[in-house]
Amino acid sequence: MGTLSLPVRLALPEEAQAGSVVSLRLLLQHPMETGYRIGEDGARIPRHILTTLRVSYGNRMIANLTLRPAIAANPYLALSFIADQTGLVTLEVEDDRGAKLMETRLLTVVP
Amino acid sequence: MHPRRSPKWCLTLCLTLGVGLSLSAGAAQSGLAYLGEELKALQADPFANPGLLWVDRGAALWQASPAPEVPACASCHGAPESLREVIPTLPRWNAATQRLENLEGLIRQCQSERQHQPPAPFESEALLALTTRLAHGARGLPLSAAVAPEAAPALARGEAFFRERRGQLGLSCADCHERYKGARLRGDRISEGMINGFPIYRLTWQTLGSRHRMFRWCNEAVRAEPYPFGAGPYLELELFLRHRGAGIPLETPAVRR
Repeated sequence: MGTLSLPVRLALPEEAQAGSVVSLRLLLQHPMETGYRIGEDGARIPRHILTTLRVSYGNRMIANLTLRPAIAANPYLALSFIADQTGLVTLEVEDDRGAKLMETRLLTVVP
Repeated sequence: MHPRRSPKWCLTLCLTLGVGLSLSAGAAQSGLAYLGEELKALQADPFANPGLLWVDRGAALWQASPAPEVPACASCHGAPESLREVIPTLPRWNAATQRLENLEGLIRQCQSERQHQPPAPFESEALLALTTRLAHGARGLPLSAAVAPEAAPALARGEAFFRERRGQLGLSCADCHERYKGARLRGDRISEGMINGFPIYRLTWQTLGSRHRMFRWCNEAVRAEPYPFGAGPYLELELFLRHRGAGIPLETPAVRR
């Protein structure tokens, strides 16, 4: 299967004061089908979930999450970190069917 | 009094008191007024309202040509906001076809007649996204009360549908959404059945749904046979509900239980 896109809404300030807490907010469009439900035809609906979420800031990994079925569809995720250097914030998301998302934003830190 | 009757009387009394205390009678209110604080906040959040994912996708589809040499929506219409005055008047009477047309119907008609494409299936991601983007552009505008004289019989049939008891439970739309509005039904409060927020992001569905999906869901909930998407009775009901909710501002994409 080729790389599928994952629709996303991503919010990260472009600029932050050194030492301040910055929040990264994410809204992903995904069915998060658990694999436990039975469809109208009586067959099990196959699992279709996000599996991985990684965030790096500069050259550091600041979040590395393994996602599980017990998350509602179209998940909203937020994480915060301390802005200490100007650098790229890179977000990587994968699901169990080969869909991938890679987004990069520049966070400028002002003294 | 017969002892077996008392619980029902109690229930009726509680419901009546509940309605009287919680909501002022009179002016029609959006389903927003019946939501808890968390969902009100989620709907109002310009980032985290999940329906905005479809607004984004609809905006992209609006700009995209579906096939080579085929105009995109934007090629003819410009910005989606150019249609914002039309949205609160839908569904409306089409004198040429002598039928009611709603937003989904108009989009599908454009797709087949202007873009020469197979129309997007009802409740497909593409149709929901376009519908949501267009209705989002008209948010804040009040639902219109205007009904063409030719549509008067359709409006009357729509109201009759609203008041007709149906299904194994023998409930009409009006039983819940007029008589018991504001009352508790399991974990939720019964709204007035207004259609100003559609397509809505419904937590029960974990996705977005159209007005007709909601009608179908409600019909199934009273164990009645639902009509197909875009069916005449649903268009007439939609017309009646638009007329009934006139003055309530559009708030697409609304978040609902």
